[in-house]
Amino acid sequence: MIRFVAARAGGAAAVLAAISLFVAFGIRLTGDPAVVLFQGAAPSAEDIKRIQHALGTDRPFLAQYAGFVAAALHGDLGTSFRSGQPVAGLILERAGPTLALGLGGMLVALAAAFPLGAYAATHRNALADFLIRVGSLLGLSFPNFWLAIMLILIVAVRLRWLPPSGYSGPASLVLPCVTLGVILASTLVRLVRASLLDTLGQPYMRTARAKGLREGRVVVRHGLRNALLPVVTFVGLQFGALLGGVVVLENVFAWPGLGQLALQAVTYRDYPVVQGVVVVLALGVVLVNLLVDLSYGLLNPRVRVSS
Amino acid sequence: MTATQAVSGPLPRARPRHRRPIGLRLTFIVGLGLVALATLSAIAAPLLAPHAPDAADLGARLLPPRLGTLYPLGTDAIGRDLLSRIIYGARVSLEVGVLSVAASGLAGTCLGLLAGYYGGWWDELAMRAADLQLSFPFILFAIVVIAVLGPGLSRIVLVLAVTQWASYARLVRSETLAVRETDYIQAARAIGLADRRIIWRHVLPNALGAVSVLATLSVANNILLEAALTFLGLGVDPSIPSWGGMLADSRNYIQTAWWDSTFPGLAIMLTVMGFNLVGDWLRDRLTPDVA
Amino acid sequence: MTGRTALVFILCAAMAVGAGGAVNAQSPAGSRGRSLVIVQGQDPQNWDPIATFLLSWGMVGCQIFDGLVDRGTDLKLRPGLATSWSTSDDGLNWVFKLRQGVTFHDGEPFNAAAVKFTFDRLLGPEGAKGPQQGNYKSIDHVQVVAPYTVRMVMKVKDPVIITKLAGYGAMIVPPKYVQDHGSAYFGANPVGTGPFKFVEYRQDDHLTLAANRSYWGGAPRVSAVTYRFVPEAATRVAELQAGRADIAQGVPVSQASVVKGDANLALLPVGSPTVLEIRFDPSKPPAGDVRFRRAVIAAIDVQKIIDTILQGYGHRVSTFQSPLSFGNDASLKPYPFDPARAKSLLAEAGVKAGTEVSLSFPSNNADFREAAQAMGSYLGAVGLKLTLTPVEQVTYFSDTLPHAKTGPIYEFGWGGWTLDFDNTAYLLYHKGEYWNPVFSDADVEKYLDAERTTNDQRARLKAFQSLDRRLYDLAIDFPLWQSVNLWGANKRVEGFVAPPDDRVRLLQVSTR
Repeated sequence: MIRFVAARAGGAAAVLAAISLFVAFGIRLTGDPAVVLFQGAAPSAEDIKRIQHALGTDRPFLAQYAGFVAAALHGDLGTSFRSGQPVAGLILERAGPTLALGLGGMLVALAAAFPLGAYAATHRNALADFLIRVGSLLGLSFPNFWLAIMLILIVAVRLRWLPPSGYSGPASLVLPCVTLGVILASTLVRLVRASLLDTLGQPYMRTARAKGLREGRVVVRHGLRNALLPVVTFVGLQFGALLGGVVVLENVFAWPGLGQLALQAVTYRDYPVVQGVVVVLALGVVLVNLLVDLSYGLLNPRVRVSS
Repeated sequence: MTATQAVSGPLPRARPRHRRPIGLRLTFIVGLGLVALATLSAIAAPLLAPHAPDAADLGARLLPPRLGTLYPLGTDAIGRDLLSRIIYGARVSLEVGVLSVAASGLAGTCLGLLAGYYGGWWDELAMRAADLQLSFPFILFAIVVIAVLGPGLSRIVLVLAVTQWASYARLVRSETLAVRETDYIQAARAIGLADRRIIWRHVLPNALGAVSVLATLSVANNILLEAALTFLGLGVDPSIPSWGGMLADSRNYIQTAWWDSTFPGLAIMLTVMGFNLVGDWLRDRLTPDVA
Repeated sequence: MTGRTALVFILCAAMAVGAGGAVNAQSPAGSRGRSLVIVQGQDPQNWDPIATFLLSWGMVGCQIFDGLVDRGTDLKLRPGLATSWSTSDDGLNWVFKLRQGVTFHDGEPFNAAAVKFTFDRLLGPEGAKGPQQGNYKSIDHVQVVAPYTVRMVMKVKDPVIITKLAGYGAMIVPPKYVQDHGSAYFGANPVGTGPFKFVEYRQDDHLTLAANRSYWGGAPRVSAVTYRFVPEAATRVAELQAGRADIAQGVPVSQASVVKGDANLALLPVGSPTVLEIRFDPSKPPAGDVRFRRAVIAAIDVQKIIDTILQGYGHRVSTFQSPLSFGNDASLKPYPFDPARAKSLLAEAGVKAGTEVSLSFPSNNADFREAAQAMGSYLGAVGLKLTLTPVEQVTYFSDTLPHAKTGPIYEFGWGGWTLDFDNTAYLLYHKGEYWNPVFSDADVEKYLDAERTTNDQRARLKAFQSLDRRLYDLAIDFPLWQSVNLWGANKRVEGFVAPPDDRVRLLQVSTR
């Protein structure tokens, strides 16, 4: 166990190093932040040189990267080119709204998906199953920005029940989380259903039934537990992919989260912010994956990751 | 039945009690029909569409739908026929969806199988690479790649394919891990069946169930991601019709010209449904006896 | 209740309620009393006046800061923190008399020392980190002559220095506050002399300001202003409709009828100095051939585009400047729409039917996006196949354009803030300038030189007229229209004038 975690920690460090190098290099291919600062004006060559020097982007790439790594190891993720604020502080400030949105959406999705997916799997091919499958298809064929705008128009503009956008309290959390939740739930329902169906037919399930256990108990104790494997993988995957879907939602709902931070930073070539956000997210994803892998052992003792 | 015969067939499953499938064949036919409709639209667009998709008529902007007239589904913001654009739109949407999933699915499944079955270094390497891929946020990756390489359909397919193989790899790996430890597979290895054979005939079919679900979802999802990229300003040439692009471009007209976004939305929905229904059927076929 | 069931419920309820009509529109707005909520699309992220050129800064920054010179909504200059000024004959010395009795929001006095500190900072190492410094290079230094008098010593004569003093970089900052807290803190917690003072800021979310009762120009009539940063235009309009925002910046033309049709809202169009055009890159065939260029110009019906896609919110122009600009030749008529002539010109130039040409443009301009697609249709009618290449906006202006990476045709927009064609013309038509990497013409250089090297306005006008004509004949670009910006406001807001230069002015604004 310890060896497993240690090996993974080493792997994680390697991943972080690779990602930080990749993003530091990649973002520098997209354009010069010094030029970007002059949006709307026509800078002279000496203006550009002056700003490049102030930002430190006229140094060779490896020098910049080494500086970033050295500072990062002390917890200093650099200073934003655009706002002059420390990147670590910015990330902490913006992580809250994104986590709230992500967790809220995931909760809505799980609360819907497990009961619905289990019901569909155990009442396979009945009308309920059919309706649930059609419903989930509908739910995942809405583009997220369109669903968001529709909800805003109906709930916030027509009905005036909730604020259209912004991060201002529990009421403002509802629309974004429901939007995200509906979309996540639709995928999850299908996954839960498919996994359950796969495991419900396993030989050990037959044994459990033969032992006289009630169907419900069989489903929950044995079926769901092993079905959790791909579901947990999915949830773990979603954490990394979360930012992708969340960026658009944060844009439509004017949500001051990491997605907005990262999008703006890439758009305006704010290198330190992009590097900082990506590295922190990578760290998060690696940790979550580690948790997911550890949970495999818990969920199905027969599965032990070979080391 | 000898031991060899026993292990040479597919993994036997118990039959749980279930009702007669309600319209299983019907849903499959509907699904196949929808996919065929989309494919036909894509292939035969010039024959099916009443107008050219980029024929703008500024005097006929934002006309509401009226069946039996020149523009049965109405026109868009610059007077182009919506029906024709939807028919042609199948091309881009299907290209994006199918190509990206084929590429990422193939790569991811292979890697996931290897990682799950052999474990050890394969597993470490594949999973670290997957971590690498999954840790880099898709949208940022897309923006960076498109900022460097420029916009275009091939870029979008590239970005989607490169960012999605890891999902398949992890999924297949988890399914493989679950199957690998069963007595059944242990027995097969014990009697000396070749790895390749075990993987191909026993491990893979079981993994394909979940993979087919993911793949069909991904085709649909990638059509939607193309819409999201257009929404963020990273889409293809706006005069080339794509359902996602049409949706993104019509978002300011939802209150004044509902047809502009509703019909492309319906097109996406029906095509997504089609792929998923077909995927369900595939899954049932590939993991037998759980029918 | 699961997410999906809730959604179904909401949609059914919506259909029922929506059919009955909207709930009272004023309730969220009315509850705000004398405070305003303004939604704008971009957060400049740094409130330090020397750090940015963004228009989104000007929408907010002018509430917090003042300059020596002020510019009103009529775009005329008037005394700000300086009550009067005079210059020496050689133009190298300016003396400013400063307004007395003004204090910064943190209690510091405004005086000559504060002005000197501001310009030392702007022209020194701190200013070197930002883009504004380059605009003020003509200034050598500022001297304190008396507690309320400063002398500005110039390096070179600068005819537009007074206009520049109304710009962001020259806005006066509090010496003690900036020295005590440092620039990073100042950028997130700004203090100035303006009509509103800073209360709190959350990046990409909101900025709250409270009225400065002791403002030298009179106390504002609203008690507080909250700016909210909402990047998506459809959401900004939704905020207006829901009564949660009082003023919205950047209403897209496609939503104009939504705002106009709402009984509680008013649509406020305002002409801006920004002019849009498409330009040709002569180094990319067939754009090197003047007949091709004239053909493209003749093939497109710009007036129809303005009337339909822009719904009339745009003014046709014949040269790349607004009617307000000095140097504009009103007698020059816009290029006529003549598709038959376009076809014959193409045939003359040997451009075969079906030739592909590409049009590059920044992807964030939704109106131009639609116009470009309409242009594709017009060009198709004369036998050219137009492909559209949208490029992400920042990339477009920082890389694609200056490095000549566009196609043969590309979009360009420019705001001539000095209202004098020289600024635009030099940057666009002089050989080797930032926005003009490829084109050059001997006659154009001659006229540019003529208008730059004299102060005689009549001679300059003549030079401009020759320049206009020459450019018209060369057809190196196709000026399209002067932009009209759309603002939306709740009818409870009184006295709000939509600003032509995007600098929101709230001193005279009150709420009903």
